[in-house]
Amino acid sequence: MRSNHWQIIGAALLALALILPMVPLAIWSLAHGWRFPDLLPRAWSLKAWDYALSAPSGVLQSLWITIWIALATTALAALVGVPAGRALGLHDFRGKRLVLLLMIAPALIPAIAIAPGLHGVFLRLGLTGGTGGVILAHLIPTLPYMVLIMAAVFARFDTVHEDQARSLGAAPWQVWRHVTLPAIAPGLLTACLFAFLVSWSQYLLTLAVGSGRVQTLPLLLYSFAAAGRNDVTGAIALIYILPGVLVVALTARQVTGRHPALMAGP
Amino acid sequence: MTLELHLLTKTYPGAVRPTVRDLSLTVPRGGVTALLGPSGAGKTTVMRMVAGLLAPDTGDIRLDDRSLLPLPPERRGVVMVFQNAPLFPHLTLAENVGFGLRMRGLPSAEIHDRVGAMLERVQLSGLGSRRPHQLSGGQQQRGALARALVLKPRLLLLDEPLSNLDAALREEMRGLIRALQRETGITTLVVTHDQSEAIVLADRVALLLDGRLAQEAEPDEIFARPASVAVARFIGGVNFLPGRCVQGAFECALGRLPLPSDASEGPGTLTIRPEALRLGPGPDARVGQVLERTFLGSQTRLTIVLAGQRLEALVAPDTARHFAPGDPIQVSLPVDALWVIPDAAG
Repeated sequence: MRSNHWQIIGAALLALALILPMVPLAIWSLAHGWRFPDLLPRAWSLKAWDYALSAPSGVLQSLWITIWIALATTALAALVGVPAGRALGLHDFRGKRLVLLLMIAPALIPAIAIAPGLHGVFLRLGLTGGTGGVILAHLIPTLPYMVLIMAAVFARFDTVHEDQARSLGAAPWQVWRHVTLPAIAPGLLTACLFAFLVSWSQYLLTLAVGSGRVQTLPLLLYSFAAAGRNDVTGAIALIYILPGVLVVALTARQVTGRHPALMAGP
Repeated sequence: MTLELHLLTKTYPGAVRPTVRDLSLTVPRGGVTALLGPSGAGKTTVMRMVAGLLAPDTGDIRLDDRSLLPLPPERRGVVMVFQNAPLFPHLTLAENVGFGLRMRGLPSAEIHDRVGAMLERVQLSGLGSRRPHQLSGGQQQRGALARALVLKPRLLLLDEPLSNLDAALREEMRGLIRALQRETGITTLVVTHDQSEAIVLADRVALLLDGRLAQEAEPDEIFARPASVAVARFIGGVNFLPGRCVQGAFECALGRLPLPSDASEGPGTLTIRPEALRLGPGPDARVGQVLERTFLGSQTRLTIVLAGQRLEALVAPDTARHFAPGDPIQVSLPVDALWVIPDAAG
């Protein structure tokens, strides 16, 4: 009972720590000027929101580009990451540890260290300044998450189910659709969430490869922040946070794994 | 449907020796053949090749005179029930049993009817909406069997169908498999490492040792007339006497033992099953000495030295009580229980 109380207090503190930083953003986005030492703005207005949601600000356009890039990155990462994760999770082979290390490397090495070099390579390949190049660049930090999560998922997957399905008359695509996919779905969803959010929050790689011409939300956010437009920055920041919160809220049940899956072992 | 394996050979990549070597075997139409052998003998490899999950290096697999090799697993009409036969955990029992029918694109009304009838046949009616984790081990096993039989396969492959079941469930499953097999007449190949399982399930037993077919015969034939010492050892043979067949008798350390009429001449190994030795006075009894007495539950094993040869006898515990280690004992070797393995057979 006591420990339950502490758990609730702990959870409340954690929630507070996560929500508090957003409060000033919300206030800024609704303030009509907010000067020191006022605790709250003297006047309120929807001006910042009006502007942020209007065409000239470019916020909505940025939102769609950011969503499109994150979705495409996620899909490509899954396309590569699921087979790679399967190979790493199910099979032992020479050099597996090296491959794993190389897989994790992009997540360990700071983007700033590779951005200039990456820009040079992409420039030579003619991939700078477009969403295609940005999507490719976003694969660098997203693939490790995708591959490692899927490797863990497949390490617990019992392939006897696939053989059994095959022998019961399922063609390979039917095995994938009716046996493998349901088994890995919770893990795949988690991996896709990670991939989406990692792409969503990319700043440096987008800047380096997009050459400023691919204006994703974080880039736009930064330029408004740098220009001192705190009210618009607050509004954009809230829009920017929204998808992450939404995605996690909508899928929390699946991610926590309360879903029977074709998994062997505990 | 007659299944014919013709000179099947399979070597796994990186393996020094083939797992299955030149295996030829016929499973007669409507019959049950058990592929018996110790673990690692290549039994499951054979199954997977027949099921189409593994390609043989050489040889052919024919079902009713048509080669199965060009066909993918789902088009062979062969259904394999895997060891421990796991049901798909994300589907209900009824969905599991209907899985193969759904993959074939049958109308759902027909699937529903056939699944219902099948569940009734394996006494699982009313449990169709349960998930596998809500079923007992025996129910899951019956469900897995139903899932295979509902497809009316041309050939059924059972991989260790009774392993991992407790004694009561084994009995129940064994009865169910035999009954269903008789009803449907589906040609069946059972893989097992357990000789008693092979005997009770199958009409014929094919013994696989070291990737090769060591003997293929009716179960009692394998017990009474093992083709080699290795076969005899695998099925529990312990008494082996080297010697030579001369004119219908076997000359060995025990002297001249008369043989059944069909023994072939030349050097060989005489074997007699431990339960066939007769203890106590008799017309041909010889006197030996009890070396050891081991109580095994329903039987007792007596180790006896006779003319310098060790022999083992399995007798009822009541009989064995009269013989303590060191006691003299009279032993007879009944003529019709003797079997000579020619030395050429190894």
